[in-house]
Amino acid sequence: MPVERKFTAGSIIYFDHEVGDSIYILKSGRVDISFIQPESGEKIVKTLAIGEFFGLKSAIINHTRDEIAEAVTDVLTIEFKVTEFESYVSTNVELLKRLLRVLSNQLRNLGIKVNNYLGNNVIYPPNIGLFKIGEYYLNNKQYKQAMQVYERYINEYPDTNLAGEAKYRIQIAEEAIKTGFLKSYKPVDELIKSEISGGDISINQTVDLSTSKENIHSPLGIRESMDKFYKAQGAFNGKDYETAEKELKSFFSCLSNNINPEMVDEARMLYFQVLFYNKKYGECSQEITEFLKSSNKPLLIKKALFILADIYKELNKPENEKAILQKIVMMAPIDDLSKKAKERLNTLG
Amino acid sequence: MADVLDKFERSYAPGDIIFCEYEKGDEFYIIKEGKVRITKIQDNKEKTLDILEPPAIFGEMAIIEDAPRSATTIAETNVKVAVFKKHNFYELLASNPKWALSLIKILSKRIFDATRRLQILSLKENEAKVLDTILMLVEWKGIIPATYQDTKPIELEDVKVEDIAHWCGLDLKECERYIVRYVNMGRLERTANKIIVKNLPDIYRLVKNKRKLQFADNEL
Repeated sequence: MPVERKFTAGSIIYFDHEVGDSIYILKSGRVDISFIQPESGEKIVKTLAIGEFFGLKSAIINHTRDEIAEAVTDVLTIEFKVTEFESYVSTNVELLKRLLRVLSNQLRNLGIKVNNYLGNNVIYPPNIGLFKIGEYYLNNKQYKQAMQVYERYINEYPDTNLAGEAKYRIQIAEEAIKTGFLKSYKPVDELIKSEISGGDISINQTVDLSTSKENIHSPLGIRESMDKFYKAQGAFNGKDYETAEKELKSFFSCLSNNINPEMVDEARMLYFQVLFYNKKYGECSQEITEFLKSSNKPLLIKKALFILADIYKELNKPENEKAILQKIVMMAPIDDLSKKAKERLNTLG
Repeated sequence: MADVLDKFERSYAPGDIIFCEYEKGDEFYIIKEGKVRITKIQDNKEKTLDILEPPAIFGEMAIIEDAPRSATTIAETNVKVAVFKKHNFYELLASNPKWALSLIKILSKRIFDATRRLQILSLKENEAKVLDTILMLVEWKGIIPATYQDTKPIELEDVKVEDIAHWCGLDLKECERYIVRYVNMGRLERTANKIIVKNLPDIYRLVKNKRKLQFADNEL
């Protein structure tokens, strides 16, 4: 049977590198999960929401913990052993659904980061992606596969302007199977380009490429959002802050609940920095103020405050800068950012 | 024989596409006969990710995620599959909790693997990436490099340099060069299908220091 288990403030529920077969649900109190972000080496602290599971992934596959769970206040949890958890979830389909969603969302985001490192980071809207796969098979003389892909394309996107092109390609693939000779066709990238520069084509006809929601969006818009986010990140890393700003604005303009909240947070931090680099101090401080009203994540708040301090520095208002830094120093938990703020305060005298 | 699954059965000839990456996904499948190849086109090459056999389930990811297909599946032989609709998915989960749990396990394992891979890929030096991949393969054997004090050699069976190169995103030649260097130094040993780590704590320290230095550089 799962049991209620108490932890007193300051105690560690589990350490990283330790093996444990317990899965917890937070019932009351505050638990902070801290882990090292794999790609930056940065320590991230996340405060759990009431009702949230923790320790799940590692326990269920008997992997060492990769995070530290700390009871910040007195905490009440429900503790399951793996077998108990298994029988508990098996009677609760809604919970299973939720868990599978959460995990698959995490995995997808990780996959995109991995692909970014591997240089496979081009993500197409689904219809263009599908069209390109057909093109790959056509280029490689795999006519049967090309035809099957284009049939699916026409089936799924009958009203887009590439549907005609898909029909044409099915026809030339069919002929090529008989004659061994493939008639010429324009690569889809060129088709897209010529349409954009064409100018006189109405948006309705160019649903393949532009703003119509119907055909370019995946059901949840997740791919599109992630694409924008990573484009912005790429632009930021390449110091192209204007493009980054544009992509992020577009990211936030079509925000939905399905997008991983951590990515939204990351995007927000990026956005603050971008506005700062673009010297839009007014807009930036306004955005940060809005954010501070709603966020309860100390690490993010501190980061945002740092940017605010930078703005005051640029505006040559050392008193305000000091006040902000003071705020960071005072904020729990004490971490590297607190230290940095303190050092900076000292240099300001 | 009257099999309930027969009603939803579909057949494919070798080379037929069952579903295509980027396509909408509202069905999932259980293989009844034959083999199914899972592929993805990357760098303008079609890469095989896996080959599945009965009674494997596939196509479930797009349903869980409510997102387009993330890979293409092609019939490798003559294939028979049982086809299920999206709404059957959660019914099947409910009536078959073992299977639901195995999905949670698979996803959890993949998340750990992807996180570990990110750690490797984020290293700046390619040589360190190769060494860290070797550490990961050691971890997969249930050994924790951080606490392994022994200098007893560890054998990694069925490990090809291609696999290492692929995992850490390097081309084969470059990866080969680093492995040879470490073999020459006596830190690794190599046989036809094995890589032997001669001194694990040694390699662990090397990678750990590289990572430390790199992240110290990243600080402001």
